[in-house]
Amino acid sequence: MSATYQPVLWNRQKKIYDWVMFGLIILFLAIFIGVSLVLFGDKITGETLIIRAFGSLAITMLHIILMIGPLARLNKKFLPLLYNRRHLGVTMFFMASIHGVFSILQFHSMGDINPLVSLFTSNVNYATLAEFPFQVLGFFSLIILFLMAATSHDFWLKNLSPKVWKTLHLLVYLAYAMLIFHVMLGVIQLEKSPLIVILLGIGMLTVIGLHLAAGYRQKQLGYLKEQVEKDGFVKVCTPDDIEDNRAKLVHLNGESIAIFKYENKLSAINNFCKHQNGSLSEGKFVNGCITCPWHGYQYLAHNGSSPPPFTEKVATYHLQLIDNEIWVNPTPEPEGTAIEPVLL
Amino acid sequence: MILSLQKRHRLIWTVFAIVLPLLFVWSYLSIPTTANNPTIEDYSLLPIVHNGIENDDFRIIERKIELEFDINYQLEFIVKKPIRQAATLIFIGENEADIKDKAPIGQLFSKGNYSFPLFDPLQKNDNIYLYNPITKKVFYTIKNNSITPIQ
Amino acid sequence: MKSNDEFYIGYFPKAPKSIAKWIMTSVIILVISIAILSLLQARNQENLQANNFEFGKITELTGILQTTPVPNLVIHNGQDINGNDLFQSVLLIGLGKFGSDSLVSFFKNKIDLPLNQTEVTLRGTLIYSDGKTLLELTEEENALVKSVPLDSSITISSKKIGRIELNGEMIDSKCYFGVMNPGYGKPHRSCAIRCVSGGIPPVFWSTTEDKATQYYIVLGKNGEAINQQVLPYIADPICIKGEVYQYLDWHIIQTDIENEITAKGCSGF
Repeated sequence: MSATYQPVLWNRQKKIYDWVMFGLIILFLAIFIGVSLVLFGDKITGETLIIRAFGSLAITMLHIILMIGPLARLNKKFLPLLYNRRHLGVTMFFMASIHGVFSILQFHSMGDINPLVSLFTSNVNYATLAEFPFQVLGFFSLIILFLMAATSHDFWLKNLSPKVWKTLHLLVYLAYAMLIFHVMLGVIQLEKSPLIVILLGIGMLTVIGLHLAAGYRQKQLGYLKEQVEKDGFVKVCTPDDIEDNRAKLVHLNGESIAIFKYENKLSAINNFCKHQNGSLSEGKFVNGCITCPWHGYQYLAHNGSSPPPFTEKVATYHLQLIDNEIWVNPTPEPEGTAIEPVLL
Repeated sequence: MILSLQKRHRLIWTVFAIVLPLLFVWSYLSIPTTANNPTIEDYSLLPIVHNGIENDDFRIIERKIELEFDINYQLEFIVKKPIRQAATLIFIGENEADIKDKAPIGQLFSKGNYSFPLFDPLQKNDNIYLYNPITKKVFYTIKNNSITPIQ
Repeated sequence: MKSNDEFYIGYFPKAPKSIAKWIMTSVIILVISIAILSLLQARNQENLQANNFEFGKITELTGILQTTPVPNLVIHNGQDINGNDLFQSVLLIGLGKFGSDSLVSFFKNKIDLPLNQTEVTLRGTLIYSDGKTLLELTEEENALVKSVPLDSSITISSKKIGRIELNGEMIDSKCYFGVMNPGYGKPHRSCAIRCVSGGIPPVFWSTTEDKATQYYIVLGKNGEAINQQVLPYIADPICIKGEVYQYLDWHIIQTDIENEITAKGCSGF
């Protein structure tokens, strides 16, 4: 929960995460390079091997990265994979850059024009699909991945605002689409083996399927079947519908409200964490604080403020308990406003 | 994720779910292929096979040409795999030292068929040597005892 | 409701047991998947060529320097049993993605006698594949080691074979025969365009049904270099028509760029 530019706030979980990640990267590269040398060692050149190994690694990593988000939304047990996902993203960018830089050196340097000009002007069949200059797709994807890697730190998240930052990071989907066709219109035209096309197809359909499943499941969450309203308050549920130390999500008048039950009390705060807009209603009341499921940002239940020295604040809402029914007023109080919890 | 962002995610992936698979299939179907060219030589017109050898790299056939008053021989070389040498000469001789004093029967280049006239048919002790005149080394030896009649 | 009790917080030293177990299982699945995916992708490299680029090794070749049909050095590999001369043409290429026209003109000016009355020795890096050999003049202007006058002049000429129509692909000779692997096809297209644009002779390669491979140096209908004009056709399946000549171990195809190259297969097949 720091907004100053410190490289990484290391902790044990992040270290485990990164060691596993580097282990998997080394496993991938070792197998790829080993198999290539055993099968084609008499033919393959060092540069070709580097370009292919890192390109294959990067596209494989991107698929894994893109599956983590929807998996964590479909099953909360995947949340630990989300916690440090940006290390995975930044590392993937570096792997893709090795592929990109070597390709530009190999295919475009030492020629009669500047390598970057050559990238755009050597193959100019932009109007056809089969002959499309696939390298350009890779180049723009790499630019997007660079922007994302460069702004991945919480410093940028804070300064750009979570909404702008998240929107910027939506560009990864554009990069993904371009990379699918960077592969399809590039190496697949040379290595026509159906196996690899099927692998890429399965990867693509899995990523799409998971995103759709997570998206449409989330759409159904937090809407009341019927809206009973009295004196500005809306009837939500009974206290028994909420587990201890957990919350109920409700969308009302454009507000997303998380109603927490803890220590025999009820409090309502805005659902979206100030860090990355994680859904606080999927969080838990831990050690006296509502804790965000994504990165563990914490808020006091009665006033929606992070405990000192932290400064994050979310809006709070008034609750009433009438005839064992919880009623909420969807008009938010200013962020950080203390509201007396409802006692059960 | 805030609701507008959730909606944007759903929209993006709904569009992707339709567009990406279509483009994917279209890309695969539009992969261009290069056609082969018909074979120029008519093998049925070639002289009869005397004997030969075939392995993964070459098919070597000694052909016998029966003329009215004479019998000639020719050696046909089919290069099946690309030769990884900068230059290739074919020698016939009993051993490597023997070929130093001899003239080659010809040169080999790309994959394909090559025919060379022989003064005499291959002898019992004759081996075929492929020699690189740039490195001055024999890089491939075909032992005579592996040369047998083939059809 | 017990399962919901566990909650992961990244900065806590340990993850709750059931979550840790779940993640452990996921990591094991990931390890197996990564191994399989890496193996499958590595195996899927069927189109590598048996190429050689003797990078870092300089070889000296002696022969007759020729500026046409493209810069080349004709080396003499002795005589066969019938007393015929065995010549081989080694194409000369510049450093990087450049041809050797200007270097060869420079050498020509340095040599006093006509080229066919001189035996020259050139230094460079050998590039060879499938029976075709090229020499990269790695040391550029220092590549000419010596030139020695010959007793008599040697005439080397092309022999006309006839008109032909072929399916195949045009590539740059330097990458195709050694420097890159594979030096053909879509992934290599931009590089091949860059090389041909830089003056490296474009070569058309085609295969026949009996798996023979033929290589044709591509020239204009009057034998002129047409490197810039052929750029749109590089590394694409095309049909080419033209007059074929034999120049030592090479074929040459002289084609009318306006009318005789088509992006589709040949109509005759």
